[in-house]
Amino acid sequence: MKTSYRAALAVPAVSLAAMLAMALPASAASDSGSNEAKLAPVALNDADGSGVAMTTVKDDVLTVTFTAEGLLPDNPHAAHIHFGAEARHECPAASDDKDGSGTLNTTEGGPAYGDIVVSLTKTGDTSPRSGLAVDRFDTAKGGKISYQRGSIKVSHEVGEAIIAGKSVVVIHGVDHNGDGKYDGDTKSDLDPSLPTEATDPALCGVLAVSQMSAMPSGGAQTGSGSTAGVQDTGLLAAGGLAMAAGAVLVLRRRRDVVPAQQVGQHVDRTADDR
Amino acid sequence: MDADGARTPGHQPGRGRRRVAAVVVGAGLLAAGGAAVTTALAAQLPAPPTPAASAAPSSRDGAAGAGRGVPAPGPSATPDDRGAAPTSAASAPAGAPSAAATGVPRPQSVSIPSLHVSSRLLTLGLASDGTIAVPAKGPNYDRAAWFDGSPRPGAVGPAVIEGHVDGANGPSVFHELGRIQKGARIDVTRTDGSVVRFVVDGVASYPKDDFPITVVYANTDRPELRLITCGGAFDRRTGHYVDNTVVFAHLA
Repeated sequence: MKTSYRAALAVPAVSLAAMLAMALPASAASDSGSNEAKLAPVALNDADGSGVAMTTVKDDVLTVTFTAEGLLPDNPHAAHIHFGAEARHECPAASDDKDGSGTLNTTEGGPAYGDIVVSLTKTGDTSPRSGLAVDRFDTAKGGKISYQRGSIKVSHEVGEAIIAGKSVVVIHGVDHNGDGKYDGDTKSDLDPSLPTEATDPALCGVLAVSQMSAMPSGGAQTGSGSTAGVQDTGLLAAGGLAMAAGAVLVLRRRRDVVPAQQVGQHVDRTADDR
Repeated sequence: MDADGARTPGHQPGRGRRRVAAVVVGAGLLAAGGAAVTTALAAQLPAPPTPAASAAPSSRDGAAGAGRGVPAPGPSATPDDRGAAPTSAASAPAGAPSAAATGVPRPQSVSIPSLHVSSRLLTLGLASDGTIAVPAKGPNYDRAAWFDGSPRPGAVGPAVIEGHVDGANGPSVFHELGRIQKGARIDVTRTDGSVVRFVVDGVASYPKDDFPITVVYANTDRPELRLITCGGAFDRRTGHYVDNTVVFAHLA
């Protein structure tokens, strides 16, 4: 009676669990994704560089990896993920140079890529507030940056925008006049205490959906070490010990050959004493 | 006295027998020990080959290569697609066609004739540490595996097939991978019986703690293949090799 009652309850419970299990993968899939951007020089700004950025979003937690080269060497380069619901979700074109200056500043790129949504700092805060935290961005040693950071919490809207391929990676900092440093009379549109060279967009790429549906964090643990180095250390050690012990026994016997008579004489003497 | 006398002469042959026994045992130990050492040395397996730096493929995407032995693009490098990259990247519509959506059949087996490798494929996903899960101990340990987070071989993108370098039985399916030559052929047979042929561009070795995912797993303009195994020094403390050997290939 009791058992059949339990069984009756168990059937809907199990089917409910089954329905949940079937529903879960579908919702999880929409909340995670891998994206990739090929970073190319921003129009008009003549940064002779390139790079690749990769992101993985899972449950509104973001991991970012990017490599770039050809940046102004040994200077800090602010890097962000941009997104705007009203933006074109692309990198700016020459036609975005609204003031006709012949170069594109960060604000002029806005209609293409939107506002800063993630600041790709090395440490600390990653919100838009850190967009110009110059001391926490990578310095391009020899013009190169290799960046990786995980556990970046983003809003659900931003996470979904990235997964959907609507966000854009922008690395800032160009050297329009080619003198090897950030300077010039034009002030930054973002921070008047900085020259515009320090904040103008250098490299840009749309974070398109990756061809990899799941992005590994690295390679693979494909080996047990059975063919590495000296393998049979146990057998080698045991064999070595056995040989040493055998050698001791044999050599002792050889040394015994002469003293054996003395031992015999000693025995005889003992017998005489008695 | 009699008993002593009987015992005393008895001592001499007794000691002699023990000495003989000691020599016999000693000689036996020498022989057995020698045999053990010989066996151990004879059973010593050759370590996995390390790819030559010159064998590494050229960096096609211009990314800052983090790996050892990634040389500058040589004169024989594939046509520079850097010029094409900005437009294609900038104008790429969100949601490039995924491999599965294009109806490419699943991979079933892989063969590398030049290395005498042939294996039916497992299908594996990610491990809990975020790296690619590897064939578990057991009857399938020595099979290669297709990573199902990568495109199916023959679809546009970097299809990933991995295999162990060694295991309990000694050398495993991809032990010789570091020896592969540029231009070598890799065939992947799919579930519908069709075969896609790939040609090796090069082989590189990367430290696992600085693995360049932006080079190995980057989107590609054509169907490509990556074969991954272990290499370099073996860290007995972690129980893992410190490097990954990666073969780069493209559809023939």
